[in-house]
Amino acid sequence: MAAIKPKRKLGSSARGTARPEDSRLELKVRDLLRVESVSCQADTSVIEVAQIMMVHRIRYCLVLNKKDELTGIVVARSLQRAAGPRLEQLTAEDVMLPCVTVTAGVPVERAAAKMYLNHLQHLVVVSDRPGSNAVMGLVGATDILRHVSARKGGK
Amino acid sequence: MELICNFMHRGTVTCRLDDTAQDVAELMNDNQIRTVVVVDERGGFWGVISVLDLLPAIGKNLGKVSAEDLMQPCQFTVDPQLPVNEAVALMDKHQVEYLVIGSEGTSEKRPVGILTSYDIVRCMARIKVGRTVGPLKLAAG
Repeated sequence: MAAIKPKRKLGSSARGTARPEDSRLELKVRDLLRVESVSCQADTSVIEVAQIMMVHRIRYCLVLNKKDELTGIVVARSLQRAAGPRLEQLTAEDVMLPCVTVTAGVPVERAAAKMYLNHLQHLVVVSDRPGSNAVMGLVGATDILRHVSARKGGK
Repeated sequence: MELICNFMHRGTVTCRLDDTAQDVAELMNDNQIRTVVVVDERGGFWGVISVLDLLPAIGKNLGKVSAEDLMQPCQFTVDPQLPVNEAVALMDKHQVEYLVIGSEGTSEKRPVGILTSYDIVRCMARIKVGRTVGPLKLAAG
């Protein structure tokens, strides 16, 4: 197996934790943020991307260009659609989807709606500071589910 | 030719038609899964709820939304001996990220396993689920 890129840090360390002063109903995307993300270069072969996803037990892989800027995301569904006789010639760039972003200050309910509308289980979280488009990390559908599941009995 | 039985998840996590969205969210979270199969009292297969199907209910009272309202109704089940490339073609055709594997040789549809797009990724990475092998010998040297 080809060399696998180590986990790439985007932002600070440690997984985001819910701030105790927030009520659960007002939970924001930044409270569920995953700051550690796994990435590959745009010319990485699709098979290598599949191996990266398996090694890290994740369902996405962020795609970076030569300047290490985020250009897209490969998810399990995009690899499923790429399956076919040309698979060995395809690269991450050929199968990636555009990143759908959400700002860190958005309530999780709105992030959930954005995921549903875009049929994506991961959104890229960007800073809500005006004029900044710095990537802070990712939020996944399962992160939201964990929050909902902890809210016994609903509202 | 690779068969889906080498990559599928054997067994399914199920909920009942009248379970609530809260129950389904807890089932997914407790079992670390993203797809729950909806069955009736007799184990008959009715549909599937994926984590994406749950998302529109977030922000509502999950205790008042039933699994039946959220599920994608069952369209078909597939045979465990189906080749992986045919399974991928079926997933593309029906625009789904999972296939439910049905028991063989019975007229009533009973789910025995599930194949998701992540299992297709595992197939691409050339990693099969563990399998039993015969007596092993150490390689020389």
